Amino acid sequence: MNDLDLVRGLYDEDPPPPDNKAMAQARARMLSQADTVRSRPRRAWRLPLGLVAAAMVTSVVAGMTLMANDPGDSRRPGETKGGVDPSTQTLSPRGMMLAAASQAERQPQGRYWFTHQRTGLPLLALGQTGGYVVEERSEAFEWTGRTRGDGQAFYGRDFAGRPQTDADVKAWRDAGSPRTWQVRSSGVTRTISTESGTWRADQNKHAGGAFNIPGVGSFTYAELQDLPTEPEELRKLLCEGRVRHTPEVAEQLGRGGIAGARKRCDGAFGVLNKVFFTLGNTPVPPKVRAGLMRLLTDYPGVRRLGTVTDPLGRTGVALATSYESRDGRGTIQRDLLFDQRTGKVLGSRDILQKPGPDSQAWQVPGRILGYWLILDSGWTDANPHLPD
Amino acid sequence: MEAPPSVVPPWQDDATVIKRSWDEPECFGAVFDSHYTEIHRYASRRLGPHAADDVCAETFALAFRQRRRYDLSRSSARPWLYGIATNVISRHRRDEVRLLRAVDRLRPVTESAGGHEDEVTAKVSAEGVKGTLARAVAALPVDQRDVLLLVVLSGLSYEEVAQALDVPFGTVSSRLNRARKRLRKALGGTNPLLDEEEMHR
Repeated sequence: MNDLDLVRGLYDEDPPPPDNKAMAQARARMLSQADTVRSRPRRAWRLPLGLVAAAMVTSVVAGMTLMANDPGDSRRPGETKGGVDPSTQTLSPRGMMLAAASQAERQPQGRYWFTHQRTGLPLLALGQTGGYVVEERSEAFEWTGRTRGDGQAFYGRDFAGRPQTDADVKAWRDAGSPRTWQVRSSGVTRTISTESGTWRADQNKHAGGAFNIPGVGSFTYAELQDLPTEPEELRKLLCEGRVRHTPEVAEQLGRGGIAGARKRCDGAFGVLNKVFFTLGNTPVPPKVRAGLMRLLTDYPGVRRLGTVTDPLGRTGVALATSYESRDGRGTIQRDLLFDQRTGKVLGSRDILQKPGPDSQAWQVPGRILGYWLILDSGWTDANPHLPD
Repeated sequence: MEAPPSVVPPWQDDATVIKRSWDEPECFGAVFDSHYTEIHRYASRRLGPHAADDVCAETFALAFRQRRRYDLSRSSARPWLYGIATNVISRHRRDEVRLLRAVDRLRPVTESAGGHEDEVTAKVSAEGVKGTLARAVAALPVDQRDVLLLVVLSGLSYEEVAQALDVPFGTVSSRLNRARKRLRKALGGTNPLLDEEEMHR
């Protein structure tokens, strides 16, 4: 008993939960501000109408040929990496997905689960040495102890930027190969470097043992093992009911318990994102992973693309859905890529299908507008160390 | 005084989701869905449920607009959101002071049955001194009250409170110590339920 406990005693343990209507209005108000943070595009950046129509034809194939190879990767974009089981080559795109789902392997379990991820955002390089597209890239590395008490850590760094396509690489060289670029998006001007930054650790210490799926909730390792495996039950888990607090959060939030926000999926796009969040951020067991892949494969509005190559040159089998950008960039296709042999998720990428009123000139159909890749994930018994 | 560890497990994906929301604004909805009820509860306890709706709407609207300034090396957005909410609440300072002065109406005596013995004791003693204590909290300088109430109500660690308010760790400790001294002085330093050890610090 101390004075802090007395102060706590002054306050209502369980205030009334938030009003659903007020919550919905607050959410809509928040997201409707999208336009206030974006600079208005210059008219000159709009695409001539004829070019739009001509370029719209084969966005997916174009998306792959527009990717530059990573340095050191001698394979051509779209070329298949060796080792794909020849027996799957004759399968339909749906058959490939289901085969990949059935391959979902149990990883050897360890004390710590880790994931290493990279995001890429292509932006126009500004200024006299600009005029081509460069990728702003960042990486995150985190590990979580399987058992509460084993800890958790999160690190982030700016990863070296690079020109996006082969044509962008040439334009960059022609401009004298500058080592930094000025870019602007979301109303903020910033500098991208060709050098990676150092890893910065999140200073907050946590006990570990909990895995969070954004918009779904927090689960212990044991709870992840008991998730449903049937697609329809998994859809309910991701999209219905309320966001789930861990027992600790629930305790912190008051003995009467306080409900989380309602889960929401907003169609195929929402389901695809939740499946990605789950597969990329938690060690769900193989049968759950397979169930999630089956759910998405047959979900209305999801297309099965068959074999594709990701921005690192890794071959995968992909599912896709389209969404309308809220910020005027048009119709965008989001792909979710899986390793055909292991069933592991490789990442997601966005490809422009149809420009919108605020698309910039370089944002033509087939361009990659962003990606989020899982570089590595798995278990270790030793304390995980940072990637180079 | 050693800082307690945060009791709340991390929302380890906030940083990546926020990064993604830079150019894909709708992604920020996941941050809202994860944290709205918690921030609402904090605002509701400090200002009452009606003002909490407005404070929360404003907090998340601000967070959304400032998402490009989020420090991506911090995996959980909770300290950041508590910090924004605390700033918004500070604009309702008079309402908060009014509520504290009318504390008997703020918290009607309808004790739920059960609970640990410690908690029951805490409540009984709080009943006795809460009028005095509430007035003392109301009289605190705003920066001390913000630190005190973040520590007491949010479940954030001291380190996270420092991040929330964008002040050094040492500032959190010193503001908290000053606030506690004032509260003890207001209570006359004679409440038998306060630990001897605590009293002599």
